[in-house]
Amino acid sequence: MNFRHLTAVFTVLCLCTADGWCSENARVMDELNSPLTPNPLKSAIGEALYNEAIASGEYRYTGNDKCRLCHRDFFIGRKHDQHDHSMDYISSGEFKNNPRCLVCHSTGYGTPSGFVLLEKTPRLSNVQCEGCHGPGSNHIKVASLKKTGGGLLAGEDNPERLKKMCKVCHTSRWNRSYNDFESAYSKYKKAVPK
Amino acid sequence: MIEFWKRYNITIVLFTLVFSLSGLSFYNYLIQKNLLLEQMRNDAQDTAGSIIAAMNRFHDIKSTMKVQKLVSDISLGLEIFEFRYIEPDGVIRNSMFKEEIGTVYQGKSFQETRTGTIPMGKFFFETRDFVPVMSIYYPIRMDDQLIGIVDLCVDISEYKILLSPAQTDFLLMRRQVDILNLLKSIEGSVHNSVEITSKTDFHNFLKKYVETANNIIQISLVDQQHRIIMSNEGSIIGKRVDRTYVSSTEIFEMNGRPTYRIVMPDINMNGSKKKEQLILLLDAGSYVKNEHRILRTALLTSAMAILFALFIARIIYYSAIESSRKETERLEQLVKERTQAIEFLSKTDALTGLWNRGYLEEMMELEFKRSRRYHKDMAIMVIDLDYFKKINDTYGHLGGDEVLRRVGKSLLSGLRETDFIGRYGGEEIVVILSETRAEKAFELANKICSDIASEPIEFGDAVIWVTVSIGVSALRPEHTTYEEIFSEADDALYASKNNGRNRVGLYSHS
Ligand code: HEC
Ligand code: HEC
Ligand code: HEC
Ligand code: HEC
Repeated sequence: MNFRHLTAVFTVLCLCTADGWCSENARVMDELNSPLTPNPLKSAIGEALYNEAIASGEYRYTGNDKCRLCHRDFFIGRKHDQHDHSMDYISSGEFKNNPRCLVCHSTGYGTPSGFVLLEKTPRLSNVQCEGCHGPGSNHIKVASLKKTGGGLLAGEDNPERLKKMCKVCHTSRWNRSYNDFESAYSKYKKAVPK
Repeated sequence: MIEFWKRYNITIVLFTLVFSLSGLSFYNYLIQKNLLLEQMRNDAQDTAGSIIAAMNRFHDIKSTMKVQKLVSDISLGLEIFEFRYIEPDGVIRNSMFKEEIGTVYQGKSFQETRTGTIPMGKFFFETRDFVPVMSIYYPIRMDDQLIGIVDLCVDISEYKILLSPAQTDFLLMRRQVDILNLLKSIEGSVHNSVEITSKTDFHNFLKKYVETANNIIQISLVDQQHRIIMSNEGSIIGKRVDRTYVSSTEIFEMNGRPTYRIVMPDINMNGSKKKEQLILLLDAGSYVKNEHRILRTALLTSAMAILFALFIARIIYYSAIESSRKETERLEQLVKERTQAIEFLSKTDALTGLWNRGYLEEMMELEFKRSRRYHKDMAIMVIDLDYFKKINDTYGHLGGDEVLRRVGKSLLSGLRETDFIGRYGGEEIVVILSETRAEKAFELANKICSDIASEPIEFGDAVIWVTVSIGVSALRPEHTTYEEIFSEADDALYASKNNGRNRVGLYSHS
C-alpha cells in the first residue's frame, strides 16, 4: 500500500464523518426549529389521567437506583441499552439544558418530580426505567406491600400506553433506532434488550 | 416315628398351639413396640425441627431486627447504594438484596480486603453494577474479635459527571463523615443485638423453651469436636461428650428417669457453614409405660393360651382316664380271678386234688395253736397205702397215680367237712381232725380203713385191691408243737405196719 492509497482512504473517511456530522447536525437543527415535543407521559396516557395521577402525589420519579433493589437484573441489563446513555450526547455540549432536547433524552422532563437540570437532578438523567414506565413511587409502594407488580402508569399490564410512549420519542425525525417496531418493542421484555 | 406321633399326638398339637399363640402375641408385641418407637422418633424429630426453627428465629430477631430496619430505610437521605452485613467467614447475614442472604459474598473488592489490598475501615472507590461508588468495609469488633463486617457504598456517579475535582473532594468528605456516623450507629446496634444474642441470653432462651415444653428434658448444641456449645443446662456448656453419645439415638436412664435421646446432625444455624448437632433429651416415661402395657398384654395372652391348652389337656386326659379305668377294672377282675386260681393251685396237690404238704403243715400248725389256745381237742391221722411200690411195679406209674387219686377221693367223701385232708408226700396222706378226741379219731380211721379195703379200684381192665395202714394221735396238754403229735401218729402208723398192715394204730402215751 503506497502513500497515495492512504491519502485516498483518509479523504473518504473524512468525507463520511463530515457527512455524518452534517446530517446529524441537520436533524438537531431541524429539531431546534420545530415545535417543542409534547410531554411523552402526558401524550401516552392522556391529559385527564395524567393530571389526576400527578395531582394525587402518588406518582413521583425515584430514579433507577431504587428499581435496582428488586430488579437488579434489569438494572444491570439496561446498562447495555442506549437509553441508559442517552444523556451522553447532550450533557457535554451546548444543548445540555435545552428543554427541546431533554424531553427525549432524560427521565420525566417537564413532569413534577421529574428531571430538571443535571445539577439538580443528576439521578434522573438518561432515559431510565421510569422514562418508559412512568413514575415509579406508586409501584414501589404496591410492590413492597403486596410483593406483586402493578401501580405503574405504563406498565406491563398496559402495552398500548407503553407503545405510545415509544412513539412520542421515536418520531419520524428520530427513527433510526429500529426498523421493525414490534420486534424492537418485544426485546424490552427482557432484562437485556438485545 | 409314627409310634411316637400316635402316642404323643395330643401333646404335640397342644404344645404347637401354645407355642404359636405365644409366638404370635410376642410378635404382635414387637410390632407394637416398634410402632411406639417410630412414633416417638417422629414426635422427637418434629420437636427438634420446631426447636431449630425457634432458635433460628431467635437469632434472626435478635441480630437483625435493628439492622434490617436500616437496610430497608433507604430514604435516609444518604442514598445508600448497597448495604450488607457480612460474617467474618464471608457469609452474608443481611443484605438489601434478599436473595443473597445466607450465601458467601463474592464481591471482588471484598476478596481484596482478605488479601489486604483494600484495608478495612477505609473508604475507597470502585464500580458496582456499572455504577461508580464510594465503598467501605467497616469491621465490627467485640473484645478485639471480629464479629462482622458492614459493607456499605454510595452512588457517586453524579459527582463524577458534574463537579470539579475540588468540589467533588469536598462533597465526598462530607458524605464520608455522614456515612461514618451512620456506621457508628450501626455498630452500636449490632453490638447491642450481638450482646443480647450472646451466650447467656441464648442459654436463657433454651431454658425457657425447656420450661414451657412438658416433655423436653434437655436441649444442647454440640460442635464438630463434640463440645457442648450451648445448652439449657448451664453447667454442661463447654464440656465434651462421647462420640457414641452423639452418633446414636437411644432410650436410657437418666436420674432415674427413662430418657430418649435424639440427635439431629448437620444443622446450620442461620445459614452458617459450621455444622452443629442438636441433641435433644426427651422424657420417655409415657413410652416406657405404654411399652410395659403392651408387654403385659402379650404375656397375658401367652398365659391364657397356656391355661387354655392345659384345660383342654385336662378334659382330654379325664375322658381318656375314664375309658381306661373301665378297662383296668375289667383287667383287675381278671387278674384277681387268675391269681386266686394260681393261689389255690399252689395250695393243692396236682394229682389228688388234696391240699399239698406245704399248706398241710401250715394248717397243722394253725390248728394246733388254735386248739391248744381254746383248749379244744384235735387229732392227726397219717394214712399210708400198703404195698404201694408193688402196685406201681405191677400197674405202672399211671396205675399208682390212679390209685392215689381214688383213695383221695374216697377219703374226701368219707370224711367230715371240717376235716382237713392233705397229701404229705409219696403215698402218705394226712388228715387233721379238729375238735376230735383220740377215740373218735380212732373210730373214724377204722371206718376209713375198712371202707378202702372193701372197695377195689378199677384200672383199665384190672381191679386193684388196696389197703391202707393208719396211725392216729391226739392233742394232749404236754404237746408243745404239732410235730410232736405228727410224729406220734407216724409212730402209730409204723406200729400198725409192723402189725400186719390194713389196720389202725392209736398212739398210746403211757
Ligand atoms: C422527539 C424526541 C427527540 C428530541 C426532541 C431530540 N432527540 Fe435526539 N434523539 C432522539 C432519538 C430517538 C435518538 C436515537 C436515534 C434515532 O432513533 O434516530 C436521538 C439521537 C440523538 C443523537 C445521536 C445521533 C445518532 O444518530 O445516534 C444526538 C447527538 C441527539 N439525539 C441530539 C439531540 C439534540 C441536540 C436535541 C435537541 C435539540 C435532540 N436530540 C432532541 C430523540 C430526540
Ligand atoms: C425503552 C423503554 C423501557 C425502559 C427504559 C425500561 N423498560 Fe421495562 N419494559 C419495557 C417494555 C416495552 C416492556 C414489555 C412490556 C410488555 O410485556 O408488553 C417492559 C417490561 C418490563 C418488565 C416486565 C418484564 C417481564 O418479566 O414481563 C419489567 C420488570 C421491567 N420492564 C422493568 C424495567 C426496569 C427495572 C427498568 C429500568 C432498569 C426498565 N424496565 C426500563 C420498556 C422499557
Ligand atoms: C420493592 C421491590 C420493587 C421495587 C423497588 C420495584 N419493583 Fe417493579 N416489580 C416488583 C415486583 C415484585 C414485580 C412483580 C413480579 C415481577 O414481575 O418481577 C414488579 C414488576 C414490575 C414491572 C412489570 C409488571 C408491571 O406492573 O408492569 C415493571 C415494569 C416494574 N416492576 C418496573 C419497576 C420500576 C420502573 C421500578 C423502579 C421505579 C420498580 N419496578 C421498582 C417489585 C419492585
Ligand atoms: C423518552 C424518550 C424515549 C422513549 C419513551 C423511548 N425511547 Fe427509544 N430511544 C430514545 C433515545 C433518546 C434513544 C437514543 C439513545 C442513544 O443512542 O444514546 C433511543 C434509542 C432506542 C433504541 C436503540 C437502542 C440501542 O441500544 O441502540 C431502540 C431500539 C429504542 N430506542 C426503542 C424504543 C422502544 C421500543 C421504546 C418504547 C418501549 C422506546 N425506545 C421508548 C428515547 C426514547
